[in-house]
Amino acid sequence: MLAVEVEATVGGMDLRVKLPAHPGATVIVGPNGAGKTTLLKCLLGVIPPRRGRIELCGEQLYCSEQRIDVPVGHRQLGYVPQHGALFPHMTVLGNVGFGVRGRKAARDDQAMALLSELGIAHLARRRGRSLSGGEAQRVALCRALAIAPRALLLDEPTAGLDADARPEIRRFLVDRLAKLAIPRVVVSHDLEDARALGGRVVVLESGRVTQVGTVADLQQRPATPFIERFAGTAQPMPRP
Amino acid sequence: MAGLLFAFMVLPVVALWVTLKVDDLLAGIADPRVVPALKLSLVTTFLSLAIIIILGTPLAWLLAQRDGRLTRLVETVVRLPVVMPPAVAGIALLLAFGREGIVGSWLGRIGWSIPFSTAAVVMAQIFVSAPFYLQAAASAFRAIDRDQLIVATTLGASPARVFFRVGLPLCASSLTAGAAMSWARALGEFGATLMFAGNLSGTTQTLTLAVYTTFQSDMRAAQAISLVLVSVAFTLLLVLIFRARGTTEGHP
Amino acid sequence: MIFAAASLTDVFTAVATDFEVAHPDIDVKVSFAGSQSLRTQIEQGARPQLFASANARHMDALRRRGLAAEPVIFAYNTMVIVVPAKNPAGITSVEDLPRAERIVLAGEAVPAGSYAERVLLKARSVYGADFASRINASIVSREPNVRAVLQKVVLGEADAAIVYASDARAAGTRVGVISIPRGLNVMASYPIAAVTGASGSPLGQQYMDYLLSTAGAATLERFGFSAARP
Repeated sequence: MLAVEVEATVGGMDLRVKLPAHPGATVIVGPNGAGKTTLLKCLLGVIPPRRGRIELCGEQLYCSEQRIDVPVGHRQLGYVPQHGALFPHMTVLGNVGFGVRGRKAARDDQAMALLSELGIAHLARRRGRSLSGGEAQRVALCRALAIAPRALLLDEPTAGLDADARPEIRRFLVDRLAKLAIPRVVVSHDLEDARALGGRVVVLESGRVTQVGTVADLQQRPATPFIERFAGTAQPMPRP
Repeated sequence: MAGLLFAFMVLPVVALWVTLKVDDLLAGIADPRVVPALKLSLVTTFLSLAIIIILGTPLAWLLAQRDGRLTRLVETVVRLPVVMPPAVAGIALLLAFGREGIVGSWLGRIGWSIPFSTAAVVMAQIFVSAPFYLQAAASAFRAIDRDQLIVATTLGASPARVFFRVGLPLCASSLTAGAAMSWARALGEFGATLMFAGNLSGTTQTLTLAVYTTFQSDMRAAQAISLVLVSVAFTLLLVLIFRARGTTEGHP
Repeated sequence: MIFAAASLTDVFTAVATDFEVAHPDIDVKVSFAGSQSLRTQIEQGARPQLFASANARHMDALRRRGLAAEPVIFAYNTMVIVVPAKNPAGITSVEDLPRAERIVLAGEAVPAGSYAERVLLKARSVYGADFASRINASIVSREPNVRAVLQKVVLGEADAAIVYASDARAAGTRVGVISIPRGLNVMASYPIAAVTGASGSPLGQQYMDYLLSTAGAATLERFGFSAARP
């Protein structure tokens, strides 16, 4: 369960977001500059909100009233940034093992097990900088999962991938994320992502939530012209 | 037209080599000032480089992490020695660390005296050459993808671990290039050293000061020492450049 | 263009100003540096109209290579000990010199440096080898010209230095001056000569004539030199 209520001002943009507790996937969509990434960074603890409250599974990560602000490294949140942001100088194994505690051999074993589980064990010896966009995304997810996160935050996981790789990564994500019993927050500007990942869709425009609902809700009852355009450009719902 | 500047820059270097007879070169190198000066130059420049790297890398990292008015002020201040004429740097160092300087008079009371010592040579070199390293390091650190640092932090890495495992290796080749620039500047340091540290063979007379001193009495010897200086600088720069290239080509 | 020894900085600037007042159509440029640097520059092709050296050695070297005409001695100078105004080492005579923790001299190739060495050599024969070795141990720098030596004393970085009497006078109250007895002192003579192959030599001759005139002599005396003539 992730409940969020934050106010933050970053670079002249005023963000006020209130999201009721939700156990599963939350897909945040919105135009560029709407504050999607800022919201993600507030959750991570990288950007300090002006005031508000972030609660994860009953624990306060942030609360301005009680002056609680759990440091980034102690929030135990898995973060998959845009384009993966792998450590280019390390091997894939080194990337995935980075957050694992313990001795080098134990870290490597655990990282290797995770890579195998995600079906990318063959990449283990490759350097971070030598991977394709799709491979980098998979490794980045694997790296985030290595710390046994209590929630997972993904920023534009399919952005910048070529058209062939995108559905493949989307399938991979849907497949993996569905198995997780933790809250997932995915920032996207792609309706396909939102539909595939299921759960609730939160529309953010100019720092404010303009609609919360399923993809079908957005298509049938768009609350703003942006949502109408956004939902309208997508393919019609596939028939079951 | 395009080659004019190149020719202008190459000609003096060529002249330095071709106008000296081998006998004069050997006689110049045999000058009793050469060996102590070469030794002093190498010891002091590497000592100042080590200090710059040890103290400058964390400072550059800090400057790259922040973006406030104070950061910009600090950055401007540490860049000042670049635009400061060496003589001005020498006077400034004397006024700060000289016998009657702000800090120097205080150090004098506990029996420390900096001017005319090898320490003064190192200090003059650090003062004029640190900006080159700091600037290279700060811009390299700034060019790091912020997300990589954020990810490392979310993975539970301490600030020190983020710095040593992610920031530092990512910038290794830029830092090497900055260190090379800074070292070359320290090797060529002249004005501030002369004013602040003086000119005594074996203690404060670096290769550049030896060139200047010999030039006053024996042009050929000065030229021979210049060749020693240029050879040392070129060799070490080449080594650094090739090593830096080696690391980047290793993992493109 | 005139090349003049660093110790002539103040007096030649004054003489040049006076000369320009007397000859409003002439613009005099003087370049000051250690005599040995100026000599090297002339050897490397610089062609000033006049060269005023702080000793005969550098002038003679140029003469031998045919680069200078017959020189004329125009001034004499003597050496003095200068100490910072506060005189931290408490030096009052040549004999006190070993008390100085830090002594600064001009480089051996600089005339002021070789004159200072000659003073110390004479002092050694009077006060002994120990005197000389203690002084040698206190020498912390060999400056490229006599003005740099003086500056180190003015700044209080050196406890004592040996410079020209004229330089000591230029520093005024910023330094204490201790005279060196005639028996230990040396007389520095300043030769001036036309440089061979320089253009616009009439200016050089006019300037030299002015320097050797009564007016020139008065200016030299005012700056602590002894005029050689008239």
